[in-house]
Amino acid sequence: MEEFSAEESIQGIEAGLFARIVHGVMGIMNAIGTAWVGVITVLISCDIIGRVAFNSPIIGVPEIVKVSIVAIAWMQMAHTLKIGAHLRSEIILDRLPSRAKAFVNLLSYSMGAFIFAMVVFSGWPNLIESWRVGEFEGELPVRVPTYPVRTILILGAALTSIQFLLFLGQTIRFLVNPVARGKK
Amino acid sequence: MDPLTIAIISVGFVFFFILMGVHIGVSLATVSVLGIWAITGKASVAINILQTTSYSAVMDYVFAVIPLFVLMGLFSTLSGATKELFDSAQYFLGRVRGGIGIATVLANAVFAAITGVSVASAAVFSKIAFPEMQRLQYDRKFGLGIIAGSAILGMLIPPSILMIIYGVLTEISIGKLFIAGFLPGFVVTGILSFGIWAMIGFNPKLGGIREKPPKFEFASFIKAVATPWAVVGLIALVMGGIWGGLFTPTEAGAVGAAGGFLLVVIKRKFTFTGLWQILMDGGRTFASIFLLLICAQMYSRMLTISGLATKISVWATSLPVPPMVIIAGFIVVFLILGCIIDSASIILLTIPIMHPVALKLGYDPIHFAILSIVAIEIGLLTPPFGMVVFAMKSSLGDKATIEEIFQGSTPFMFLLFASLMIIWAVPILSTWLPSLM
Repeated sequence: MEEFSAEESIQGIEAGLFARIVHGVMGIMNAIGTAWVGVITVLISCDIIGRVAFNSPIIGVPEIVKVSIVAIAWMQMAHTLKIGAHLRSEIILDRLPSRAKAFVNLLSYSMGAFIFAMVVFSGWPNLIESWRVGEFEGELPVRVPTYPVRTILILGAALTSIQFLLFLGQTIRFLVNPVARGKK
Repeated sequence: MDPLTIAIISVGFVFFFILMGVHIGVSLATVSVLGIWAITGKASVAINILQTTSYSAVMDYVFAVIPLFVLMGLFSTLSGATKELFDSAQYFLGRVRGGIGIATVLANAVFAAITGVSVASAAVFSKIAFPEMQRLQYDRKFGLGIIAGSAILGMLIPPSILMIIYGVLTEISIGKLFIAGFLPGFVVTGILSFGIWAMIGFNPKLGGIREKPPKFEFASFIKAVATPWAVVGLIALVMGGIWGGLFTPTEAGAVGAAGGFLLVVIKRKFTFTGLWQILMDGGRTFASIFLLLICAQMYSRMLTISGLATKISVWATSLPVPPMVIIAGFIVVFLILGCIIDSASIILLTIPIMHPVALKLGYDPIHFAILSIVAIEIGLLTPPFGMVVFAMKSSLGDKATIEEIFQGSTPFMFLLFASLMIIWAVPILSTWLPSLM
């Protein structure tokens, strides 16, 4: 009995060198993302202590937090896809025979790869522009630069698109030759 | 084609793709982009929506609430707080009929004040409470049902991810929503506890053997009272801080996360493997919710551009039926959707349309919010897509089947439904506490 779910089986398959490097980057970005939440925790806590105990809040914490959230979300986008944690309804998918399931996945992964590639494509000009002008968020004296965040966004979206393509490749390989996969 | 038709077709496609198993975020984004392209006739406008929402949709101070409270939950779980709560509750309730079942409900209620996700509660309590129930020879299905039913409290008692998303979508204060969840949470806790007590009363076999109460010892009494103090203190600080206006919800989340970390250190549960696990686990929840939030904003922009949202609310409010019927219709929609998709997605798909309707019908926004959240949560128990049930299954492995858990949770679904009716009929339960803020 063969259960086919690309998202679960990707770790089990001998991944190519390219896939291994990409997954490594995703894992690191994912960990940095959570660690960044830890940094925000400390920042806000210090801000509160400063405000309550010394009546002097740290300037700019809300701006930093606001911009960080976008970065954290995109840091973790690709890895979350890789471990199969992005939400999807499996009510029908689970009841399909493995080939039909693969065809649905073909559609699903193509759409994903396409839409995230479009995010990269549409955000690219703004990224270049933000580096050129040194874009920032907030009023003086608090200026949080936003070009790093835009960079992380584009990188995260590109990685997510690549992960969808990797799933897609796997699905196609399964459709072309279901037996070979079983032997591995 | 006129924009309205396009929007209706788009909504149809969203549901089609979601049902087929396309990732929910991807379905929403793709259909929204194509829909906006069809409505405006300009590809550049459609592509531009991707660029703006992917950057600015989540760029808000208030969104930090989600990762911070998730982190608080992860740390507190690592610190062993759940087991402590359960042990203490069991110490005091062990001598009551259905004691361990009620202990599970109560420990869940307190744990709910740390975590914002029902699925987390279900997974944790399957590991802690179920073996204990088996030791006392509880009816298997009954025990599984108790765990599944009480996991609903995770989303109802603040902090709750659903309340955060709801607040963000409707611009209701998240702090007020949090505080509003308390009394309805107590109602559900009470009804579930009473239900367990009564069911065992009718059919003592369900409850297995009752343990002889251990001899009263001062030391163990003190231990049961004192052990969970740290968690309870943390909850009091976080929620009290929001209620008293000392913290914004985001700040409360940071205090909670920092406190959770301190708990881990104090209880000497700190390990680098544990920390690494948390670093990896964090993204699982944040990123999946943020993708939904981003894509849901694209979808709601599409609905706004097409004018569908306004049309529906005008249409619904002009129906010649009492408001109750419309709200009942909404609840039915929640319950049906609960069979197909997860609760966060349900809120993102429906609330932008339903919230204005409920307001026009004269419902208190907070009352309707709590009502919706309870109804959506009941959907987490209904087959075939009960997320709580699947979380329990993956936590229990071979020890239980999906069918057993669904069967076991059926009586609890009725109890929750009764709670829903009470919360619906008595608005003051939801609105009184926030009105004091």
